[in-house]
Amino acid sequence: MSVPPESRAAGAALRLDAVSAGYGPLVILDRLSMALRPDEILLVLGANGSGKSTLLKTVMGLTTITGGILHKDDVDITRWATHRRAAGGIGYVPQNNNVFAGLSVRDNLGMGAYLQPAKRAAAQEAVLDLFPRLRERLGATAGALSGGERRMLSIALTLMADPAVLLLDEPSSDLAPAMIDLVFAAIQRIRRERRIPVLLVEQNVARGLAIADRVVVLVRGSVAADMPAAAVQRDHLHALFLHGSVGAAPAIQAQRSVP
Amino acid sequence: MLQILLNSIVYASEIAVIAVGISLAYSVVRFANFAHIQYAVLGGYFTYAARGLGLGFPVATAISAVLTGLVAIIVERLVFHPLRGLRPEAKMIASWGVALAFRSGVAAVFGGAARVFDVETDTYLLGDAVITSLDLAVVATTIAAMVVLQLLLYRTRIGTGLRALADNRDLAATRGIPPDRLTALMWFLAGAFAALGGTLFALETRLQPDMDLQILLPVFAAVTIGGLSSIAGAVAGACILSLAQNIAIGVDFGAVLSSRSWFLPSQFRDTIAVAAMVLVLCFRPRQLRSGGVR
Ligand SMILES: Nc1ncnc2c1ncn2[C@@H]1O[C@H](COP(=O)(O)OP(=O)(O)OP(=O)(O)O)[C@@H](O)[C@H]1O
Ligand SMILES: [Mg+2]
Repeated sequence: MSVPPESRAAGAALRLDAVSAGYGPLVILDRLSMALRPDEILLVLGANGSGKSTLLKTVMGLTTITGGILHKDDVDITRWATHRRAAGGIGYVPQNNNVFAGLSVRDNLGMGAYLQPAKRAAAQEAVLDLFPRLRERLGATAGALSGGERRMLSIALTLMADPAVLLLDEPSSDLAPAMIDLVFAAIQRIRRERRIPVLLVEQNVARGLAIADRVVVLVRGSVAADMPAAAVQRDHLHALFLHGSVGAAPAIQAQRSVP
Repeated sequence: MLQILLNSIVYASEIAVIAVGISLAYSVVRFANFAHIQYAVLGGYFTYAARGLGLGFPVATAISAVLTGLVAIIVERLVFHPLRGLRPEAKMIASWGVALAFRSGVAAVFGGAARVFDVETDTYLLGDAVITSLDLAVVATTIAAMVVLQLLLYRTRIGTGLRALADNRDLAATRGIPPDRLTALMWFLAGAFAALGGTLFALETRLQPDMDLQILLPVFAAVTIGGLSSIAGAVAGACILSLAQNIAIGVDFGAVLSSRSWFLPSQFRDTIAVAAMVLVLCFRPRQLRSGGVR
C-alpha cells in the first residue's frame, strides 16, 4: 500500500506509517497511515467499532503494535512505553475511565502535573481558569463528580502536563447540550491559546466539523477518506461512514480490511 | 475485661502492620500475595541476625525492613513481573510456590529451633490488668508506622502516584507515572512492613520457621474483612479480628454461665478468626467494602 501524501509531510506533530495494532492477537488497526499537522484540529470519524479509540490508544502506547512506524515530531516512538510518550508531550483524554475516581480533584490535577511538580501551581491556575467550576470541587472525590464535571476534570488533568499534542476521545459523549457547548468552547480556546494540534474523535459530527480543520474517516481500522472539513458534505456522511467514499465504487479500500 | 482489651490492641498491632502490606500490594497488582507471610518471618530472622551483630533494636529492625523490602522487589522481578499478564488466580498460586520456597529456605538457613529475642521488659499494672513495656513499644511502633505510611500515601507526590496507579494503571501511565518503578516501590514498602510486623510478632512470641502458620490466618482474615485493597480496612479488620479472638479465648464463659470456670481452648484461635471473618463479611458495613488504597 502506498503512503498518502499527508503522511509524508515533514514536520508533522504525529505521523503513522502503515501502523497495524490491536489487542494481543486481535488486530484492529490495519496498516493505517495518517499525519497530524502542527496547529490543526483533525477530526476522526467512523462507525462504532471502526477503531477510533484504538487509534488514540495506539498513539499512547496502550495497544500491541504489530507493524508500521509511529513518529512524533520525526522521532520514532513506536517502541516507547506509555509513560515515556506522556513525558514526550502527548496528552490523552480517554473515552472512559479518564479520571482517578478514588482520588480528590486536587490530587487528580496533581497527578496531571506528575512530571513537572514545580509548574503545578501555575498549571492548576490555568486549568481552573478554563474550567472555573472545578475550583469549587477541588476537595471532592473525582468519583463523586457529575458527568460534566468529570469531563472537565479529565481535560484539565491532561492539560496540567502542558502537552504538545492533545488526543481527545469523544469529549461530548453523554453530556447535556449546554455542557457540550462548554467543552467545545474549551477545546477551541485550548487550541487558540496553547497552539497545539488536536486529534479529535467525535461521534457528534456537526459539533466536530464546526471546529475541525480536517477530517479523516476510519473504516474497519484504516483511513478511508481524508479531506478538509469544509469539503465534507453532510448528506454524504452516511456513505462515508460505511465505505469511506461517496460514489459508485466505494469498495476498494473497504474490502482489503480484515474481516 | 481491661486485660482482654489491652491484649487485643497489642495483637491487633502486630497483625495490622503485616496486613497493610498485603492490602497495599493487592491494590496495585490485584492479587493476594501469600509469600507476604514469609516476608514477615524472614524479617523477624533478619532482625534477629542484625541483633546478633550487636545492633540496637531500632537499627536492626530498620536494616531488616530494608533487606526484606529488597527481597520483595527481587521476587517481583523474578516471579510476579514475568507473570504479570496472567490472571490473578495464577499469580496467587505462584505466590504460594514462592511462600513454600521461602519456608524451606528459612528453615535451612536459620535451623528449625525456636529463638527468643532477648528483651528486658518492665511490667505495669493498670487496675488488675498487666501491660509490659514491650507491649507499649509494639503499639507505639505500629502507630508510628501507620502515620508514616499515611503521610507517604497522602502527602507526597510519589505516594499519590502510588494511589493513582492503584486506582487506574493505564491512566497513571498516560500521565507519565512510570508503572514498573512505582510497583517496585510498592513491593519495597510491602516487604518492609512485613518485616516490621514479623519482628513485632516474634518479639511478643518467639521466632521459629513455622510461625507463618500462626500469622497466616489472622492476617488474611483481617485483610479480607477490610476489603482486600483498603489499608484502613486492613487495620479495622485487624482490630475486629483481634478483639473477637481475645474475647473468645480470654473470657471465662464457665463463670458467666455457672460457677465453674471454663475457657475456650486456645487451639480455637484460627476457628474464631474464620468465624469472625465470615460473620463480618456477611454483615459488613458499606465502608468496609473494597476500593482503592484508602
Ligand atoms: N480492550 C480491548 N480488547 C479487545 N478488543 C477490543 C478492546 N477495545 C476495543 N476492542 C475492539 O476493537 C474494535 C475497535 O474498537 P474501538 O474502541 O477502537 O472502536 P471505536 O471506533 O472507538 O468505537 P466507538 O465509536 O463505539 O467508541 C472493536 O471491535 C472492539 O470490540
Ligand atoms: Mg471509541
